[in-house]
Amino acid sequence: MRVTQNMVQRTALADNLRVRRQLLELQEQASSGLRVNRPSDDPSDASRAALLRAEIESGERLAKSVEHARARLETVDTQLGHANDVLVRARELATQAANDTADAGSRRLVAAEIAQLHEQLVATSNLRHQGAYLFGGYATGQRAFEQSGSFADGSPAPVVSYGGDGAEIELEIEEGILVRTTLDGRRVFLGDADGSGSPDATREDLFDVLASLWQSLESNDRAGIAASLDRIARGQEQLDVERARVGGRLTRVEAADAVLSRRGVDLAGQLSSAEDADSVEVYSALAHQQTLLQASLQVTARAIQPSLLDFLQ
Amino acid sequence: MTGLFGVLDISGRAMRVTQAGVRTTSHNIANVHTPGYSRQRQVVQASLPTHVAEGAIGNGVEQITIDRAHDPYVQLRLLAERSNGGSLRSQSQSLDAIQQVFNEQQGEGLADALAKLYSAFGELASSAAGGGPEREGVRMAAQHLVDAVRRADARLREEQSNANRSIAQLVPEIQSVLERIAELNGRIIAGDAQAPANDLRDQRDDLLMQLSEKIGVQSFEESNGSVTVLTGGGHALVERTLVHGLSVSPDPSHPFDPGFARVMRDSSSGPIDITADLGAGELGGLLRARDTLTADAIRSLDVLAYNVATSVNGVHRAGYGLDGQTGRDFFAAPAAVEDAAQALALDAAIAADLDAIAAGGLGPAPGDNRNAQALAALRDQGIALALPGDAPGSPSGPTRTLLGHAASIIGEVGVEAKSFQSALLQHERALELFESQRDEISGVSIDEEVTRLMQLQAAFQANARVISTVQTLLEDLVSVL
Repeated sequence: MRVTQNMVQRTALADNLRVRRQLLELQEQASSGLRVNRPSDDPSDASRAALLRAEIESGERLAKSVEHARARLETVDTQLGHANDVLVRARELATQAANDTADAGSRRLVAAEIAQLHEQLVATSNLRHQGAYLFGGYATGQRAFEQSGSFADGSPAPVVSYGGDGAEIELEIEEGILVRTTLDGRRVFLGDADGSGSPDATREDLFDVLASLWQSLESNDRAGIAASLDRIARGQEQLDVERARVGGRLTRVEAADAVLSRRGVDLAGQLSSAEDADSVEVYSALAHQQTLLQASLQVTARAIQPSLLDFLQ
Repeated sequence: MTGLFGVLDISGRAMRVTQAGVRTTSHNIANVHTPGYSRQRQVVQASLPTHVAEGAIGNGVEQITIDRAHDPYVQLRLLAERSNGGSLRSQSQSLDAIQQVFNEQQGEGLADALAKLYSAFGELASSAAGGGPEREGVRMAAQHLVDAVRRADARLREEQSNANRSIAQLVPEIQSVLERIAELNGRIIAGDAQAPANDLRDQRDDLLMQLSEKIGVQSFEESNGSVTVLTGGGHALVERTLVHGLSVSPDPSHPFDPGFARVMRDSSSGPIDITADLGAGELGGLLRARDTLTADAIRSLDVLAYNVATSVNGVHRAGYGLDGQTGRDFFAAPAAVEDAAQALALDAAIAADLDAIAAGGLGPAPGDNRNAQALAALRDQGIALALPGDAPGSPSGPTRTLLGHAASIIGEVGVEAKSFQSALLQHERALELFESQRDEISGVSIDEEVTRLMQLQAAFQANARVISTVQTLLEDLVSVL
């Protein structure tokens, strides 16, 4: 085989170029920290990385949604607690007033406090959370309960009517899994789960319980007061059931939160393995490639120089 | 002439042949770095002897010709590899630009913008109060997606028209190479009449090399020394000294731009379209980059844009805005899959009024988030993709999530770019090998030439010595007289 000057030079240059190109690739990986800098570096991992980033994005969004759901359910729970406090106090007062020693005057004093409790209950039922009335179903822009009339001597007790649509707003807390984050105010406060307009057989209209208690106190009707005691007890049970419902949903939300944060860590790990450079590997390859370049340059320098002319006088 | 004068004649001729040898060697050394140069060799033989009664007396040396060290088979392989390289290089460059458009590794991309839109719908769903800021978030995310899609589309179309511009520039360059080959053909036919036109052939070979890099051609040498150049499909470009001119003309039926060039070749019956013949070389690569690579990428983007718009619109139409209206689009309804990316825009009502975003499932109640939920759930829903050419409402593509489709575009573009990159590496190695093979035969070795020079020097000295010896003999003879 004949070997000519051009061949030696070309081979040396081409090898040099290849080493430098690999060096450049490694330098890019080392400086960007990424093994995949463009789709052609690893097409399937680049494609996977895009999906993983979308998954992470979705996870972050669901985490926010979970926060919303939690905050809303906790607010609802607190308000149910307030409503329960109202009933507890009403029960105490009714028990006192049902006593034989109570007279019309003291019952009238109790009636004034019951009227206040009724007012508190209306306020509680019109709970707002971040600008939305939570007990009104989807109609979050308006008060859920409207009171008509007021507590005045000799006039009938006020009536509270529902202005919402009875819905419970759902939020996505895991992919495809929805949780109800509000309660149907009509069921909770009016005892009307089926939307018939009157309380169901086993439920109580809490406003009406207090209103009729007030009526009984005003008219010094001891039997009526005693009957209200039972109704208050049933109302408390009704609230307990709702609070248990909220508690169950909160547990579900907590579970989703745990799943999401675990999955977030998981996805971050997968994304890293799809696109990140292994720094140890890159640096050792870089050192190796630099040595190779020096060797190649030295060999080139020696191979290009000599010809027969160097040895002729 | 067998006497002493005959010897003088032999030595004189030998010195002339030796000088010609030195000249050939110096010509080789002078052209050691000339591209396409083939080493030349002096071919000599012993002159016919003179027959006398005592036997045949030698008559010295004579030069027959000077030929070039040349292997047509290696040359053909080089031509094919060059043309392959031209094609690969222009396609690979184009794909590098295309994959940069879909590159999500260094910053935000299409899949990212799409995921953010679905998230924005989700956030709207988690707002119980009707979502003023969340509605703004949805519109911003949607506008961001529209911008990203249209920017990508514009960059792909820019790349496509760059390829077209390069085609239009390349054709005149090819034409001028063809003309120079035809001119050399004429000079070689004339030159061969006296002696083999080695250097002209080297020049022509080099031009053919340049030509195959630009356009895939077949070529063969005729018996008269001229070379005939044909396109891959067999249309003659150069015959003897005749050039069939190449030109470009606009293509009114091109799906992207009626100004895009077709390549025409002159013939006796007017220009004929040879675009389909041009598969190889830089020109073939550019045509493929323009009509296949970038065109496919633009259509994938169109498929994404069309299906995003129609799927979102389909769900959005079922819902209610805060103003109580229903049946409205979210994106401006695309007319067809073709050019859907270029035309992607928000619906005018959405752009004008945030309340038009249909978050409600059954009515305008501000807390009704069911449709927003359904829009967010599109993220994980498989959709039968409408492909270019499909009639509205009857998609023929596979069922995929749109995020999956966006990610698969990245994968497909990456695979293609990678395959061209590795093909280019292989090409470089093959070219290196064939050039070394050519050099092995045709290349100039300084060592070899210097050795030859020393041989010639010695031969020259020996011949001079013979002449001086003959001179002494003649003097001796004269002094006797």
